[in-house]
Amino acid sequence: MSVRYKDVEAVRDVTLEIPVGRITCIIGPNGAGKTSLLRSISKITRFEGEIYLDGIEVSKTPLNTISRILSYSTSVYLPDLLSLKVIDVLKIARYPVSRRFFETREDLEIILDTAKEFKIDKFLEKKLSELSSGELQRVILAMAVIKNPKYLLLDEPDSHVDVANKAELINILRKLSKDRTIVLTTHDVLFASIVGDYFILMNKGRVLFAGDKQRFFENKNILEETYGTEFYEVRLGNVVIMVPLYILKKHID
Amino acid sequence: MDTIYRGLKEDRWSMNKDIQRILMLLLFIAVLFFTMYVSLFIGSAEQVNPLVMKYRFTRVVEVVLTGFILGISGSYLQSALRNPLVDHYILGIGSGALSSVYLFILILGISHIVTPFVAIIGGLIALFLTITIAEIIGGSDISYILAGIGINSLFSGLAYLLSFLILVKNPYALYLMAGGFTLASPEYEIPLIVSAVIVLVTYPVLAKPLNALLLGDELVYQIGYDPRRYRLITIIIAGVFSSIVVSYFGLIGFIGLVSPHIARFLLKTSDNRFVIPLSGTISALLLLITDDLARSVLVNIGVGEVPAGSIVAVIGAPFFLLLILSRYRGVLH
Repeated sequence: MSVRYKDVEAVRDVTLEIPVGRITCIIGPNGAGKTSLLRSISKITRFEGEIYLDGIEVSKTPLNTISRILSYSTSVYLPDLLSLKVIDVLKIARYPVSRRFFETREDLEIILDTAKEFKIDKFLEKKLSELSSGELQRVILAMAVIKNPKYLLLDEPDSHVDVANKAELINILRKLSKDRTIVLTTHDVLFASIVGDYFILMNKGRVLFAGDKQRFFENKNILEETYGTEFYEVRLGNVVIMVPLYILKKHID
Repeated sequence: MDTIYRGLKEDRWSMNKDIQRILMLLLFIAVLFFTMYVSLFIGSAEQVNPLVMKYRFTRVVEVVLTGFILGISGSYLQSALRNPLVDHYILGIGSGALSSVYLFILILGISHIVTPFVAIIGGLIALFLTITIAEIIGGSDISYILAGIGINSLFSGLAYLLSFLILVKNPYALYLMAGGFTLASPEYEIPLIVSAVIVLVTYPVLAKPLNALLLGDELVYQIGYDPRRYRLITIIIAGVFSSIVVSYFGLIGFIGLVSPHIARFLLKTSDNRFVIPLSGTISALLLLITDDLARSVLVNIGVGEVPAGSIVAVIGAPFFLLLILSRYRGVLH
């Protein structure tokens, strides 16, 4: 598949398979085409070619069918228009799966449970403008999860998240991945190597590498070429993570 | 045990709020019907003959339908454009519709069947001009007002000019510049009822997409709606039916702006499933009270009948200014 914006080609002849039921991390420098790829799968951006979700072809399937099985979430700000409250946006996020015009008892219970899971149940009646950026990030994640999608596409879920909350985010993602497929984009290779099961490395609209964690580590030279820096493998217990070397080098020089 | 109890309590907490909101809507509808009934007995004459009564009935019904259509159009426009400072008057739909009707009368003469359609064309042209200019100059809520001022000045200037030229054919042309209901007539009843019913039928279809539109286009796709399609449909519906109203009763500004805000304030939510019907009801109620004032109180103290639109503007415009001020100072909304 390819994605074109006027005369810029954001994604070039990409052929990919994303494994079901695992966390896939798409990494790559700015402008690599990560976001365009996610937006194409979510039917937000038009693309050339074919994308299959559960055997249905995205470009030929109506938006409301896709929105029932898939959530795309981005860290862009949520506008505080007409003083929207947290409870309002959670209700709206559940529209694709709530059948009635008004929320049923079941819908409300799911909304409250999800709010509790993401620790936002204390400020359901707060306006969006009154939240901190960390709280807002949790609201955005809760919105993506509240319709219980099979596929969860997260565009840079780790931006605007500090170190302590990143650990929390990793826990949440691990929990969420138990019964669904998660695809996320990130700039942070360290974060990706902690949370990911499957890795896709992109640059300038092309896929340079796609494979599981072991093969990713074996082929780390591709990663090093793309970013122009060396990466260290660090073993912590039974987890191996990837640390970019430039962080250390700068201080040595 | 504890979790079950807590679950139930929270569930009730949220359900009750929605039930309260529906009860509030029903209360306002009841008040509206009561006020309609009372309005029939308000007037200058002590002894009411059946002919006067019939006229009053027509007038009350048409005022309510007009208010209802304008109130819903206002909330449609505010949600679709994601701008709390607009209504059909601010966006130039009113003056566009009126000037095109006057132009039509000047060239071809009066026709009660054709004029609403002419009004729709004029109203939609003005609306799309305003939106295009507003988007070019940045698309913020203030750019909509600036573009609206320009388009409004153009078309209301034109309408004013034309109203003098067609004075022989339509002696009320000038009067409609500040809309009023003196011209209420039984032949408008059917078109107004049909308009109100169509607007009402679109409400269950549009309420949820309009809620989603508040989140911004990126997220609307997520919820399964095409934002451009729903925005266009909503704007056209609001434009068409407020233009029809304008072709009958002239420019009634600010009522469509104020009513959604009052509804949101009373409901304590921006959820369009509640705001749209309550906005329509409140708008109908306010316009009815204003018209009662226009045709009774001011007549009785010797001022004579004034256009209801002018009273609405005198009350509504300060509210509009307060809204603009509060947006910059974060007092209200």
